[in-house]
Amino acid sequence: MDILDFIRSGYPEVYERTHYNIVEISGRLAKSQQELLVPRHPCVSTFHKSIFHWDQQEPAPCFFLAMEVIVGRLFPSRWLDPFTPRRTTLRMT
Amino acid sequence: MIRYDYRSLEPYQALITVDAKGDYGIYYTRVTDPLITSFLNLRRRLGHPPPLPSILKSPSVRSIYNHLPFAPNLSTPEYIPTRLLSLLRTLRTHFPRHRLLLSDFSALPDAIPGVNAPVVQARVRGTAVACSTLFVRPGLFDIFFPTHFSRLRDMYEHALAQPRASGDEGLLPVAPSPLANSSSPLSVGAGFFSSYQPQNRRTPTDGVASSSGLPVGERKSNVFTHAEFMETYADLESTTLQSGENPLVDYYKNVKFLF
Repeated sequence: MDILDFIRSGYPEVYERTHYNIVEISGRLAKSQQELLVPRHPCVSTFHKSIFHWDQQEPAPCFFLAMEVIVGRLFPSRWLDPFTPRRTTLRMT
Repeated sequence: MIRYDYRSLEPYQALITVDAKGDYGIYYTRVTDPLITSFLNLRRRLGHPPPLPSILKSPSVRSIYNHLPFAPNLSTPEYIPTRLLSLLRTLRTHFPRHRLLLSDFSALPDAIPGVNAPVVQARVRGTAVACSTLFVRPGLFDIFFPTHFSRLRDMYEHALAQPRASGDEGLLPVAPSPLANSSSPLSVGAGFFSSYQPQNRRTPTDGVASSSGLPVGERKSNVFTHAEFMETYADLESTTLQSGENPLVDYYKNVKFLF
């Protein structure tokens, strides 16, 4: 939210061509992010899936943001760990 | 998780078993998991040494050690970031023109014993309580792993430098942007004037300018502490408290950035 607010107020010409994709493994969080963000920033898309099942290629330049993603889930411990990795790509075309 | 056999210095992978009563067990086999194998190969290639006491690298010392009574025959458990490796591969194949901004914990207090070991904690009435074992009931505990950032950086830059594998053929080629101000085939003439390739730049891709707009490779990623990153990119003046403290710089001592 704050990233997009910041781009919109400071760099409107960048905001115009920004797409913000959120990859969220938790269905509940994907839904709440969708409801929170999309009304204010229609350029947001939420994908309810794991980044490990990501199968689309993104040929455009993008920023890939991973904040506290690898701390929780990047070890083969599916049986142990309900932590949800979140991944975001910010695409400007 | 892996451990090394002190006699042969060969790595063994840990397998977790759950019996009918729900009790956990652990046993070790030779490495058969392909992801563990490729992680170990990569680590050798990058010159990242396994966490073994250097004195045991000498066969004669090892032989004495292995004759000591009660000396452990397996090294300390080491938790290896195999899924991190598969994430880096996904980045390379599915996001060929991304720039990564990653932030995470470089160290965690109260970790269980082992190298690169996680902290296992439960929330009890709002307070986190760390426990000393990994064998806890799934779902009730958080398990957090620290990240070795300089090794992550080496793994990441190595993953990006790999030629596209044959399995990637179904994927689109890296498209030059119509907005890019250079479309010359860089690889053709790259070595004509100089064979010099700056250490801090990646090998340029044809028709793709770096984010600086110049026809050179992208800047390689760097590891920053939280404080270094904030001193470089944050507005420190407006985030300083009246006490003179700045939480962005003074806190988060165990957090790093890869950018």
